[in-house]
Amino acid sequence: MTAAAVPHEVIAARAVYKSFGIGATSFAALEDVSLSVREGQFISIVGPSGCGKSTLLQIIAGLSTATRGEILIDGEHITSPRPDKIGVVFQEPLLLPWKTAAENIEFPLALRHEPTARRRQRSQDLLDLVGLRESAQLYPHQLSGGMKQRVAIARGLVRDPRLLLMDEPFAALDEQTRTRMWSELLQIWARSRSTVLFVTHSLIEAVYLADVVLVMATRPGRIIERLPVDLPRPRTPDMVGSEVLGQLRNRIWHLIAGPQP
Amino acid sequence: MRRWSVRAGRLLTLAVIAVLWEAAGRLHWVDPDFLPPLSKVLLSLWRLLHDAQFLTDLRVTVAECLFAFVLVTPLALGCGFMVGESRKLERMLGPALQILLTVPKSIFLPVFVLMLGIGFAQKVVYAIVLTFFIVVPTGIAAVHSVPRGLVVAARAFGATRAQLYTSIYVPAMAPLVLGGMRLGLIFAVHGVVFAEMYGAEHGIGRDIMLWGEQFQMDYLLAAVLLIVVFTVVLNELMQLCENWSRSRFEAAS
Repeated sequence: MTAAAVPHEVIAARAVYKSFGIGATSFAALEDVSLSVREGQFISIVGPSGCGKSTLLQIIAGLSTATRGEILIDGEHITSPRPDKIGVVFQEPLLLPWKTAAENIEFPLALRHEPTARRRQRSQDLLDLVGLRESAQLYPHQLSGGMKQRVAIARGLVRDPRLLLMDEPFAALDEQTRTRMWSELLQIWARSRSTVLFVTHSLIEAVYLADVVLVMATRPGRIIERLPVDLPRPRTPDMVGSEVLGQLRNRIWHLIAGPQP
Repeated sequence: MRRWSVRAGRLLTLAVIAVLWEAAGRLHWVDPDFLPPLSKVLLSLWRLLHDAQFLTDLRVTVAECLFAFVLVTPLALGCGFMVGESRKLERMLGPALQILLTVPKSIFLPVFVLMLGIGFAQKVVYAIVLTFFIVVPTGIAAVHSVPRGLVVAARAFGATRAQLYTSIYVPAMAPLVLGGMRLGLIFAVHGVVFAEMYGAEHGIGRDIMLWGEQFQMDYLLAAVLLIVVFTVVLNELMQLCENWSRSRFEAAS
């Protein structure tokens, strides 16, 4: 840890607007979204479908551009993907079916023409990190859903990004696998010390994983609440049934479902 | 074990057809003037393969086929790629391509002969026109078969435009591109031989037409047999490549 009193600001989004379409058919996917994420934080974004949470993530990832407003990563404007600073994990694993698990993890390094030996070393380390050392040479179709998503997480971390963006990465997994993946993700996060922005539609998941939950509302997509999570770390699966978590979950539920002013 | 028995069964089928063919002529089930026994056809084929005139015709036909194939396949797949990549182009040109695919190309042969004579160019151009509209939809389908998600993911990991093509498009499109090449080959041969039958100075198509008029069924069937073997062997080779690329580049779900 450095001596800096205030942790570095990794994401700064100011007054971000995003609209799709033109004229009468256009609609605001995001309206006046501002957020600040400090180094090492785990932030969840939760909201009903159509609230623009994935759109926001895409803009932060540089895969889409904001209509108005600005996004700074490490103080730099983002207009295109920045794989040196940002790793992304998608809802689908999106592994290349013709490459092995190890080759998929190395893919971002291969795009930079890094030497094979270094690539191998890096994929070995990451396979260890996500507990898939034995599966290095298997192809995606030989892996289970949870294993594929772990390979995708390893690929997201392969360039040691300051920021890991995760877009509903566990939505397609069954509940038991998902619960196991939560613990693994938190361990990986603790070891890699990266900053995580985690989009989900699961309230429990949002609270259980995060330091801070950002709640979004729809039409137009906007952030309506910022809730700190007062659960100690390390988090354990027992906490899923705890009172603190339950109360937070209910609060979010009322924010999303209740009558809004 | 099972594979072995399937192969044996296939060989047996071929053998039975050969025997029936031979017997049909010899035992006069069919008039041997119309269907000479296989042995006689094979003997004629042997003679043809030592005949300088026929070998010239064979060379001409093979050259025309290869020329048409090499020109039309990249052209058609390239056009298909461009049309498939752009939603606007596809909406503009899609109906025209569909209509042109439907129109029988043989009705234009007289026009080609008037414009190009009855030489090399007429055969190649006819084969290209015939094949082009059949292969273009495969090119379009190949682009559409590229999973959008993989492209987005590769962009997020810093792939340049060129790297998107080499690392995602090419492998993802490989099975359909090879399928398109196979179609291109089949129809290039078809187009060339048909155009030769319509009007030519050299070529196997012309020979087949001539032997038909002169009622020399053994030579006619020998040439037919040759073309059948030629196309089937090439087709099988392409199919092997296609199957390999499918097992290599497609996700087994």
